[in-house]
Amino acid sequence: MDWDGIQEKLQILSDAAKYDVSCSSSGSRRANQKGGIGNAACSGICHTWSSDGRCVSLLKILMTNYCIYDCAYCVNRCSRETKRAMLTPEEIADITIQFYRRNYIEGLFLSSGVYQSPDTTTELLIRTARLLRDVYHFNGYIHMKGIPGTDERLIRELGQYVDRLSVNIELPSSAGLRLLAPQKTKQSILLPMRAVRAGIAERQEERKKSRKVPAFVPAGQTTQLIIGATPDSDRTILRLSESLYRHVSLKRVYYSAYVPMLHGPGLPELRTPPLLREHRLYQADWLLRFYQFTADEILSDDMPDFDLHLDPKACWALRHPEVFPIEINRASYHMLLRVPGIGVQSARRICAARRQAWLSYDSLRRLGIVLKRAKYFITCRGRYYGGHTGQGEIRRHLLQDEGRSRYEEVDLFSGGTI
Amino acid sequence: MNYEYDGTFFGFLSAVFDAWHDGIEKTENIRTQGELSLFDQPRFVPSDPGKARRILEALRKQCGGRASHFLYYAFMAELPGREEALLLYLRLAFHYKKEFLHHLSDEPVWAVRQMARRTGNERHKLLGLLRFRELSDGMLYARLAPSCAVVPLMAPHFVSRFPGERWVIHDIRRHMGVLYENHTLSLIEIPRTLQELSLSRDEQGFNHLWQAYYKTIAIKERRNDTVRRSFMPEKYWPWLIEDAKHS
Repeated sequence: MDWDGIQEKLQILSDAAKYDVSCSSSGSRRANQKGGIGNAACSGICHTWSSDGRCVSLLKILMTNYCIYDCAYCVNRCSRETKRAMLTPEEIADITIQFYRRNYIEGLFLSSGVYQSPDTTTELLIRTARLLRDVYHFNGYIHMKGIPGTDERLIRELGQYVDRLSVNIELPSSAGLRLLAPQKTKQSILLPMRAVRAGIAERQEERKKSRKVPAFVPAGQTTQLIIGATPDSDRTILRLSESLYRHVSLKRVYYSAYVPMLHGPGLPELRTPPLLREHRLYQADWLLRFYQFTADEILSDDMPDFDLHLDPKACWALRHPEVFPIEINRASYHMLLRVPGIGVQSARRICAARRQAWLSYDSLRRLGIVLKRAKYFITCRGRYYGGHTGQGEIRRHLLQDEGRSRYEEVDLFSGGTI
Repeated sequence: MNYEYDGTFFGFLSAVFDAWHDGIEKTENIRTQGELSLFDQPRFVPSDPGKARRILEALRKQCGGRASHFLYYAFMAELPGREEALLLYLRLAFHYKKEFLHHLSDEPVWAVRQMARRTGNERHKLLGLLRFRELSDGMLYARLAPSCAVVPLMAPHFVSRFPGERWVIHDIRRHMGVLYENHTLSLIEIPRTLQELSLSRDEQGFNHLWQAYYKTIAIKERRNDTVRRSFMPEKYWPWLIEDAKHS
């Protein structure tokens, strides 16, 4: 094996892939088949954390960073002078299997620049996936990119082999797309997404009749939005995510703070990536998916952007003093979820425990509920333990806790970028 | 009355069985053999799989499988004073029976679940952080020094993942390990003095590839050591292939 050559290619192609944030390996329970290697753990498993604190669970590389497109925000755009490389399907499959055996990774996340044409690129992706599944009998996790502009038939074929497919929207509005990625259109992005959704829905119907029908993209599809490359407000982004969850049944939307490493007309002059804004978007995204919030409750037209000092759930609670405090022994699960500091786990635990006992403040503590923030919004057996009832006072206390957040420390140097 | 056992899970359950037989009200404590005792003559209970199974089976029937899962995982956390907490847990379990697991706000139940969570969390983390090296005879070898006794709990995961391989996971703190060979899994003792490992021809090449990948995948504009350390505590770093300290 030509170790040096492979190492150089791997470095170029993982360097080019690192701005794609998705790295999860959850949602699929592919079992090991006789004579094969690997399986998929439904919970997902992180295998290491890189020095930026992001988890690494998949071998995340591009097949090639040659690209026919010239999107202004992208490091792989064709007009940029950079080292280019390409890995063959055989090389990718071999590295994946050898990394997997040593338990470095959960599987492969293969993306690619658009090589010659979207269809040619997708055909090469399909060859890699087939090689892994049919020749190596690999049953681990495979995540691949749907290339915008690919024929629907090819997307359907790719979906047979992979656990997850994703098509990146990148720019949250058509205006941004026209400005920074003029060769792509909203249609060319949405088309493969719809094809995947239709494929998943059809196969689910068939699987109701017979469990033997193989799953189609069992871990669902995801997408990524870049934050801060265009002037779109947080509300625009959040509403886009909400409609993607509702109408295209996406599993997840990832947000990626724009890292300013390129310069050009149309690109904003940032000094550092807007990490705190990205963090707030993730918090709001969780509120949409697990906390029964709607986008309009979180942000409104008068307030289109996040309060960077306080998380969106606490902001909602402070805006609705008429709702709080709620009685912990009576409130519905839905309302418990709205208390700052109480998450899905805690809310479930409270619901389970109060079937057996009339909960007191101390018993909440024994349940492992963190009351530091929650105490301002609840009563236990009718008693209020917050001490402060004024909204301003509560806000001040919540801010003190937030000041110690671990995402804050990076953001101290961001100056006036957000 | 005080009881002593050999330190194994089945040994502990056998002691519980005898304590129950003698009258649980009179039981003061159950200890591992050899712990210092000044005032009493403890009774040693040898490990008896039959007795242990009867306790486990009763617990599963009366309180559900999750109750025995918590019991086992909490024991494997190997925290000091675990016997007392587990004994209280079992007494409550056989008292409340079906509703038992809902009694979350009862201290003993909560304490045991916390201990079980420690084991479960460490097991899950190490399923990812474990690194196999390929030896010259094709066997995969991994080394760990976990706080809880998680190695036997991790083995089934790798059995279903690598059924066609031969592998060993070595717990260097407890001088034991699991060996998977010819489709059978066995618990083995591993001597303290080990001969040098002879690695396969390609092993170093893939190590270097992985180290290079690990360095490149980080975005340096986003460096955040606090978050990395909280997800991946430094105590696990010595057993990784990637050089986390210098990247």
